[in-house]
Amino acid sequence: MLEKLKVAFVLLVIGAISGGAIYGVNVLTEPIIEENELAAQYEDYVTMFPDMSVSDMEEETIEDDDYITKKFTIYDGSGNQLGYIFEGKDENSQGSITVLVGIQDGTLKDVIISSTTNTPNYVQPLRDDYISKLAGQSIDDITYDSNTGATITYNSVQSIVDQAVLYTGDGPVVDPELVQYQTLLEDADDFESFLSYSGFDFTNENTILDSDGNVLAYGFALSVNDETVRLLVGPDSTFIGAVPVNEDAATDTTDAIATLDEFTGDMLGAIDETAVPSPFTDAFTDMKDIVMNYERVNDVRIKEETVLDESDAITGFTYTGFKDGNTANANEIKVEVDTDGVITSVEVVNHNDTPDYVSGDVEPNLDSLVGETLDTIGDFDASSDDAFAGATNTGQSVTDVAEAALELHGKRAEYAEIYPDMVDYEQSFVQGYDTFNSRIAVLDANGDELGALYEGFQFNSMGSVTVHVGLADGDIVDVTIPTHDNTPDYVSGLVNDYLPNLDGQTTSDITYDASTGATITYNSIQDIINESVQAESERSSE
Amino acid sequence: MAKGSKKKEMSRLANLTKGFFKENPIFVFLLGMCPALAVTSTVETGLGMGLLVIIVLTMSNTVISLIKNFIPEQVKIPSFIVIIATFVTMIEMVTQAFAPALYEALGIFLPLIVVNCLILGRAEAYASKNGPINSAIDGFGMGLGFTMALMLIGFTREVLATGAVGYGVYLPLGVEGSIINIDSYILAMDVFVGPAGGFIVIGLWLALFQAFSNRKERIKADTRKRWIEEKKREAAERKRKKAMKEAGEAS
Repeated sequence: MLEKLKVAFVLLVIGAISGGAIYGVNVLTEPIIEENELAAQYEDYVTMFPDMSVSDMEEETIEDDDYITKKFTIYDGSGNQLGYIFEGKDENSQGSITVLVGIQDGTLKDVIISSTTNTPNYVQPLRDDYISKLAGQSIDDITYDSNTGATITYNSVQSIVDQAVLYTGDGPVVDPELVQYQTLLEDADDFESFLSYSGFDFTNENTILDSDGNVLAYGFALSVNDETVRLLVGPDSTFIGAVPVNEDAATDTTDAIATLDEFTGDMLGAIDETAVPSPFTDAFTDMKDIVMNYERVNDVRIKEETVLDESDAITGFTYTGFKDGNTANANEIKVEVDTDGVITSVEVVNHNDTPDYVSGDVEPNLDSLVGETLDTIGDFDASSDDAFAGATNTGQSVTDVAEAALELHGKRAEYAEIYPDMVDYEQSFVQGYDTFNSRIAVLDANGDELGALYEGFQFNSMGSVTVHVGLADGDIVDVTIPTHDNTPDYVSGLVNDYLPNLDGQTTSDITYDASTGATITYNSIQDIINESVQAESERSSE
Repeated sequence: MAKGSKKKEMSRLANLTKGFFKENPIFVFLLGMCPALAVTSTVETGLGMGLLVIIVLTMSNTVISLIKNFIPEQVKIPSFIVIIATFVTMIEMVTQAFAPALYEALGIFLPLIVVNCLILGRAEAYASKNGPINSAIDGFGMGLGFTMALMLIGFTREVLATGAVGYGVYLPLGVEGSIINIDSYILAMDVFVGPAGGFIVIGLWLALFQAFSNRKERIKADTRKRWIEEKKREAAERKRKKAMKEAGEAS
């Protein structure tokens, strides 16, 4: 018992002495450690803003950001705001890095690596030779060095600086136009300018995209009460609604927009444009014309019209397309193509480019495109001396429309392969399907429908795949893959060995192969076929 | 008396220097390999870790030697660990206060000195059986050997990875710079910054030490062989002379 007490006592004494020693050292070092931490922190801040008042600095913690952890608003001793300092952190393959980004009046005041565990002999030259060059640059146009010799660390710095710039306002700067789109389309993640028009009652067309890059809608801008309003239409021609570009739009404008609510969800073809209240009537009419009659081919909006002889036989096609040239506003180009797919004439119908260039360099050389086909136009150089040298931008717009015309014409050849008796086709929009938004009715010489063709598109884990499904009289007549970026060997295996098995199958009882060796692509094909069959079935039941 | 004192002084010198080569903790005993891999991407971090180990090892050896007779056998190891942990915690605070950059760079490996087998090993194998002065010398010498090894590894890795050897970045030297700066694309092998490079460099140095040790053993064996042969030759000569003398006397 005594022996046990002795052991306990010895341990107690050792523990007590240890605790006392640690406490003593802690008492001595704690203030120094705190001072070190504060000194290190504020040393960098004061280096950036020598006139700052540390006690007046406002600190805000940023949560849920990949890089930025804190935002400091910096004031001088008189309470005047000097700028911001953002603290950002990143973990890279060499360790961790903390960067301070100072921003004043839209300019990078300074960028400082406040701490890092990255290799010191890389970090120091980076500080001296490269990061120092960021100071003084406008935050709207920051130039980074591409070859620093310390890429890993520099990439972290670049990411943090880029992210800090987004916080110069009240938070990450989101384009206000995108915010407006998001009020109607919550999945809207980005938008792109498509074309600017003249001669219509709307001024331009944007494309609204989701985070995967899928097109959610087209946005057409018009002026209402001196404010810009965008009419949104889905790719299947469903009218989505209208939204003012200005967040604080006037009541008159918002009231006018509210009058369009009754059309939301309707397909454009089903809306009587004369019933659309002013001030949207004219723009709505133009928008309906563009969406219903002009296809998007590459960067061109283009319409196909057939040219008939006296006996109503097709002798050729006229394509009218819009594409921007030397200015933001699109030129209107007309291209005539014969039944063999050869360009027979090209005309600039309307343009917004420099008249002298158009009349001097473009119009006299339009014949250089005559004779081009879908196979040859890819090699056509709009800037060559034999083409439109001197007015390259306008010439390129003409060439782009010509190429779009030939691509559109090329579809006829594809359809004719599936339906040899085809003379013409009609495209109409369909709603409610994930993989396609239109139906192509293939017509014979009498105008009777030979069958339908669905052009489906789907993203899968290997990329995207486009599938054409031909249906006629309740049977699958053809399944083709015109474009894809899935693994070529797998796709070619499907095309050779499995897609032919689908031809001739009854749509009410389709048997898919269970093991194709290309499951991902084949699943996409199945989805598109199933939706096509469903759409066709629903159409028949109507 | 004078002779005995000299003998004791030599013994302490040998005690101090044995950790440099003959009983080097890393290259001979393979002790403390964790920090040897983790904090030797530069010479300076290796040196910093080494200095801290010297302090902890010397102080823990001294204290353990002083109180060894009071610690019951059944709680010997826990007591040693508490003592070592106390010194490590103290040194951690001091480092954070006076060498914050080194504190940041060593990170978790600073508190992990507590479980460095070199320190506990010397406490158990030496300090618990010897007097405080010799224990302090043993701890200091072993710590120096450990530090030299870390610096050697750090030097090799830093030069191979960056072509330079920096100073003043982690230790509060008051001035930053580099003592070597070779501008060569060959000396930019990132692999030596990471753990893989640490293994490679330690492996190379171990091989070198082993080769050196083997050569020394061979020379020692050869010298002894020659000495024995010389002794045999001398004995034979003595025998021959004695025989000749006896023959002369007989005649």
